[in-house]
Parts: sequence; C-alpha cells; structure tokens
Amino acid sequence: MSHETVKPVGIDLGTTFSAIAYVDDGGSPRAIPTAEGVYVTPSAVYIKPDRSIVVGQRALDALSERPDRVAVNFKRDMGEKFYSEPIGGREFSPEALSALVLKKLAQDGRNELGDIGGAVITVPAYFGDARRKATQDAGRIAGLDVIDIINEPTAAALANAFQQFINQGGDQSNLSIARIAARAPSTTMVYDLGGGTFDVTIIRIDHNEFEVIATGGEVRLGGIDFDQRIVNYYCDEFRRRHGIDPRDTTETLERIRSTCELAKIALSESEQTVLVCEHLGRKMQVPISRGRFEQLTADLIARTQISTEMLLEDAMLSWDRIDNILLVGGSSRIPRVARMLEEISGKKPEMAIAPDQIVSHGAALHAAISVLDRAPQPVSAGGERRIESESAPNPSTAEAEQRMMQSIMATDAVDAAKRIKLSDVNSHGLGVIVRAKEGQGTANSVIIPKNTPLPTSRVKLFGTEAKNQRQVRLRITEGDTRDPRGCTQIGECLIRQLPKGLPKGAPVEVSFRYDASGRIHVKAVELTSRISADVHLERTSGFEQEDLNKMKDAVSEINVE
Amino acid sequence: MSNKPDNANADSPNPASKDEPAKNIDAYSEYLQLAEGNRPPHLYQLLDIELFCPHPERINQAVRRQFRKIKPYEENPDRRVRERIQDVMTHIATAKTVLNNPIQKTEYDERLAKVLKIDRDEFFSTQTAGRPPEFCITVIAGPAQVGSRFELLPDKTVTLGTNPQATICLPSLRLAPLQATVTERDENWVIRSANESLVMIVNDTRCHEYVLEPDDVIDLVGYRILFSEISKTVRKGPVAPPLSLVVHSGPSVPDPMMNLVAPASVLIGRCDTTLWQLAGKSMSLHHARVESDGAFWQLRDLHSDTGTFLNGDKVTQSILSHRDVIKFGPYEIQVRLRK
Repeated sequence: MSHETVKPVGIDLGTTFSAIAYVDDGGSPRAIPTAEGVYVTPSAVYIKPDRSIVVGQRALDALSERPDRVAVNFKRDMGEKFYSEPIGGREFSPEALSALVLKKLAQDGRNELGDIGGAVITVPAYFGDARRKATQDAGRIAGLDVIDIINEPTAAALANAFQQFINQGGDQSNLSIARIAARAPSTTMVYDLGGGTFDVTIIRIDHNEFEVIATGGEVRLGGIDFDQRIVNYYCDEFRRRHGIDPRDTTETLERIRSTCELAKIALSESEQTVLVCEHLGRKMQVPISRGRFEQLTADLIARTQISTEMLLEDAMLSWDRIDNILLVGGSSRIPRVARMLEEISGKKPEMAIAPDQIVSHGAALHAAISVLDRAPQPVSAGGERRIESESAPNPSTAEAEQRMMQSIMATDAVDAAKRIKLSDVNSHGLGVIVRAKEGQGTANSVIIPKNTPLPTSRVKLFGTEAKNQRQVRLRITEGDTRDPRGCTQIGECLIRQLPKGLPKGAPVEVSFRYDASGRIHVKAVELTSRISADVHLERTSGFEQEDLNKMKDAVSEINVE
Repeated sequence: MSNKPDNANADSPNPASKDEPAKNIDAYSEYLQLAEGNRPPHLYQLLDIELFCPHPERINQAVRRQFRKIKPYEENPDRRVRERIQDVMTHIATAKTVLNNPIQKTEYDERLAKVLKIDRDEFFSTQTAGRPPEFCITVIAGPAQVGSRFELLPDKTVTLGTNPQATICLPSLRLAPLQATVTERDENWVIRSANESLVMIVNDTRCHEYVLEPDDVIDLVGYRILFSEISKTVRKGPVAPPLSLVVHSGPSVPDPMMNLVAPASVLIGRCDTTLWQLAGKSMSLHHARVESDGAFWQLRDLHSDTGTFLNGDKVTQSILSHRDVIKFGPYEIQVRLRK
C-alpha cells in the first residue's frame, strides 16, 4: 500500500462510540459517515450463531436479544488478556474485538475514499503502556498501517485550535493549519469525559506548538457509569414495587440500560423525563428529574473534580493560569460538568463543536502531519515518526516529497501543516525495582517521573546488593509509588557474567530513554567492569509476532457488516 | 478467529468467581493506612482529619491526599481487589460531595454526633480545632510537591519527610522518612529537626529548632518551604509563573528536576548546602542563582570559575524564557516556564 495515492485517516477508538475522519484536499478534517449515514459507530460487536460478525448500531440493537453474543465496552479491558465475558461461549481478547471495530471503520473509510493509507489511533492520555500496546495491536490485527498512537486530549486540542481558526474567519479553501494558533500563547485545559474513560490535560499552545504540560484522569470512569446509576435507581424502584429484581435477567437489564442511557441524554436538555420499561409482563414508569440524576451521580462528578484538582497541583498551576477549559467527549454534555468546572475555576468552560467527533478530527490532522513529516521515506507498518525532524531534503527527494504531499493536500496546507509541532508528556512514571534499606524488602525507584516532557533521558546510580554478585536483574516498572505493588512491571534488563569478587555496592548506572514515539530504552552498566546490558521496550506488541499474524489473517477473512 | 486461553487457571474473569468470598483485605488499612476500627470508617476517619473539621480547604486537601495514596493501586491484577479499591475511591468522592455541601455536612455531622454519642456544641467548646488557622507553609522550591500549601491547625503537629504518612510527604533520596516537625508552642509555631544529624537551614542559618516568624524560609535538603500568614499570601503586582529546571544531560544527580514558584530563589552549586546540588566536576561551590524578579525569572552567575552559559552565550545575568538552555560545568539544563 502506498501513501502516494491514498489518504491517511484518524480513528477515535472509543469505549462506547468510535469515529473515523480524514483531511481533505483543502486541509480540513472531515468525518467519514457509516453506510447508515451517521458519523459515529457504536463500539459493539455481535458474533452471530453462524459466526458472521456485525459491528456498530445493529450489534448494539442485538444486545437486548442476545446479550451473550454481543461485546460492548471492551476498551475498559484493554491490556487484559480477555474481554470480561465470553461471547457465545468463547473468550476473546479486547484487541481482537477492537480490531473488528477498526475493520468496520476502515471499510467505511474505503467506501468514502476509495482506499486509505496509514491510520492514527487515539488513546486516553492516562492509558499506561500495556493499554497503548494493546491499542496498537488492535490496529495491526485489523490490517491497518498504524502510523502513530496519539493522546485523545492532544488530538482534541489540535482540532479545536483548527476550528477556532475557521470560526475567526480563516479561509478554509486556502487553509493554513499552522496559522490556526497564531495568537498569543495560551494554556488550555481539556476535560474529556467519554463513554468509559476520563482524561484531563493541560496544554500550552504557542503559535504552532502544542505542548502538553501535565495529564491525569481515570481509566474506568465515563458515561456508562452514569447510566449504571440510573439503572440501579430504576431497578431498586422496580424491586420495591414488584418484589423482583430486573437485574437478574440479562435481556431485560440490557433494555433498561438502553432506556436509561436515553434518559441521561434527555436530562441534558430537559428538567425531567420518565423511565418506562417492562419486565416479566410488568410495565413500570419511574419519573426522574435532573436534580435526582445529579444526586445519583454526585460522587462520579466529584471524582472528575478530584482528578482535575490533582492535575493542577501536579502542574503547579492555579486557575488564574488557565485561559480556557475545553469540554470534549459525549458525557461532558451532562450540565453538572460545566457547572462544577465553573464553580471551581471561575471560568466558563467551552463545549467543543462536535464533542463526539473532535478527537477523530484531531487524529486525522495528526495523521496528515505525520505522513508529511516522514515523507519521502517509504512507509512501513509501525515506521518511526520523528516529531521535530527539521532535516533539509536533498533535491531529488524534495521532488518526490512535493508530489506526495500534493496528493495528500493542497500545497499551502502542506506548508502550514509541516510547521505544527506536538510534544507530549508521559502519564505514568518509569523506574526500576530496587532493594530498599536493610530488612525493608523492595522498593520502586522512579527514574522518569510522570509528566516529564518527551523525548527525555535520565540516569540514576545504584549499587549491587551483595558481595561477589555475578548478575544484576532490573525489573522495569510503570508507576509513581515507592511501593512496588503500586506499579506494573513492563520489562526486564539483565547484566550477566560480572567478574568475580565485586564488592557489595558496586556502582550500577541505569539510564532510561523515552523517545517521542513512545519507545523506552533502558541501559544498565556496572561501572567498574564496564559490563552492560540494554533493552528496548518497544511498544510493538503484547503478542508474539506469529500470534499477531494469525489473528490478522483470521480477521482479514472475516466479513464485517 | 481462535483465541482460547492458554491454560485454564489464567485470570479468567468468570462471573462465577464473584460468588467466592472476596479476598479478605481491608482496603482502608491496606492502602490508606487507617487505624483498625469500624468499617466502613466515618468520613473524617476516612480523610484522616479531625472530627467535624470545619475548613473546606483542609477537607479538599485531605481528599486529594487520600486519593493520591490509593489511586496507584487501582490496576491491581486481581479483579476483586480492584473492585474494593474502586469502592474506597467512590467513598472518598462521596466524602468530598457531602462535606463540601454545608447543608449535607450539617446533617451528616448531626447524625454522626448521635452515633458517636458526642454533643457537638460541647465538642467544639472544648476543642481548639474550631479556631481558624492563621498560618500556612508552602513548598516553594524542590523536586516535587512545589506549590502545595498546608494550613497549620492549632494543636496539630505537622510532619515533613519522605514517609508517605507524613503530613507533607517530600519525595527525595536525601531526606529522612521523618525530617522535621512543625508544632505550636506557647502560641508560636516552632520547626524542629527530627534529630540532631539532619540538616535544616532557616533564613540561611543552620539550626535544629527555630521559632517561626511570617515570611521565614526553611531549606530542607533540596526543598524550600515558606512560612506565612494565610491572610497575606495574596501578592500584588505581577508574579513570575512556575518554573522548572530540568537536567537534560550531565552526570547523574539525586534530583534531576528543580521546580520553583515565586518568590523562591535557588542557589546552585557543588556545595552540599546549596538548595540544588549539582556536584559535577568544574562546578563552583556556589555557581549560580535563579531568582524571581517581578514577572520574570532571572539567572545570575556567582563569579563561577567555569562560567554560566545561556543558549550558548556566556552570561552574568539574564532573564529566563521558556525552552532556554542553561549550561554550567558538565550540565545542560532545560528551562520550562508554565506560561
């Protein structure tokens, strides 16, 4: 597949909804509609008894009929081995289920564009390494050329800055993406409450530079938790009146869930609505007011508030240093969200133009920019992207580059896009497990603390544990606590065959390098013997290549409706 | 598509496993180190603050502190443990909602007083806890926690150190688990080193105990702390934005990052009493200083032997901007301004 004739796409792979977009010839991001003509696809997979597969709205519709055969919310399980429930009696990995959604989106993309080039897939900024790997794998299993993984808030900020430029009378037909932010430097907080995850990020925007200062959030907090509160409210009421609990019957529960979700959406517009459901022939109406809904979900909003306040502490900022608050994600339409933020910040948050699509728009912009960045080298899956590459191309490649870019977007837009720079931070610390002081067991020693601008490298000095130690095993962790139980092991580095007779405490220098494309390089050197070991923790895969290929082949043969 | 589990005892999220008795862990003592006692704890126990605490800022600070303690464990591989942790996090969020709402708080306090068989009015008349705090301490420079402010409550000792249980936990390789305490004594606030061997510098003077006056500055090996009156912490005129200095390359140092909020200043050098010790060869004992000057941060070379360089040029004094690169001795330092 070549990028010379096809456009790259951006995909927002959401917990409840996913979306795909591309950048048109004029340089504007455009959402790609599904075959049904809508711009978001429910992240639901229905595996029919005949093993054919349906993705999207029709899969979601099947949920109340065949709850045992429909998978939803699998993004919550990303990084785990299996989706929480077996589907039709079989275990599926969250990667495989996500791959089916991606495959459906890619089909919609091909219907619109003829063919598609590489893809940028978004992840919550607060995702750790395992979940990022799983997302990248899902893309590969779906047969996509994954150019990059980008954080959702960063994508939203990029697309929003673009939108503002248009709103301020920017010429869309002769667009300069880079001029979008040609204003005084500003600091934006992106509050992204999606279907299943919550992210909050502070981004500094200075002309063409988008620099993430700090990021935080929760990987298991989103709209589905708000739905669940209404479900419980209804079911408690049902049980009180009829003595039976509808939650015991999966089919009914899914119908109630969908009713409650609609009620939640309705309560963003109106003050009151009625929940109507039927269970075992008993129909029951329960009115619910916005006030009651807010009472039921007060602690969920409070949790997002705690994360937001913790983020300000991490960034060492007070509210007077935040210029704008941008609301992203469908669930940030809940009126209490904006009110809470206004109460604590004294600022009026601004709702993104299309909070469900903005992330995919940003991903599409990033995809277009990345392809320009790595031109004119031939593109291969997982190819390294350099964010700040400024190398001057030689004349022959310059010509090829020119041709390629024009095929992606108009020349002006190309010039502009090339000037955009994104820099991000790591959302979790990286370190190694060390022996704590005598008799205190092990401890995690953080080497790259969270919210460090990427790329970065850090060195720390340790000593061997015992006299005459012949090897040093470093367990590489993700996490910020000193307590190893608060961290996840993400790799290992082993120095072997150290000379005999080293004293206890022989110096071991550990260096970490975290590059802009998310690769972690670890090197350890015993300084007296100069014996070293290094390991590259690439975000390649949680699977063996062979398994990955097998799954890829399997998915490529599946017809997704 | 085949994706069978490799072995039967993989951490299979089988719904049946939910019916097994959940692992008998007490998440409250395990992750929040709450004392044994009634479970679930009442909201003041949960937040580890005094009963009926009337200060919203202190309540919110405690909420964040407890949340920070438990949050890293939310990725526990055991689904049931994870659920327990989620429950505790929900509980903390509930505490925030209830105690921040004056009506709900009054109702809750009345109910709790009944359960504990305490007369609230009598409780307050015998406690000084109801007296509003007058002073606070703020971490103004250091590798972490910078910008955090702690209100000093009468009759409550504040502990500082690397221990996560300390009132002000200051992560560092060079500090002790308990480095110093701040207590009220005869209507004065006194800071004291936890033991004689620990270094403490108040207003540029080494000491072990010091009776604090407003605007005193305390250095605790790499951290600088300001003692001030709460009512006077709002400053007039332009204030320099928070600054981070990050070692980009050079020999390894205990603290590769130094953060500052105005009005902090930092002395950099080889000497072990400098706030930011960069002990590499060719560094002078007192090499340079970074201090705030109105809306700006200023870098000053202190007649060092090998000089101070800003973006490649040798300087004696210069204003710092975002993304500047400072060089002294073998170190290359990146400047990051928050605005």
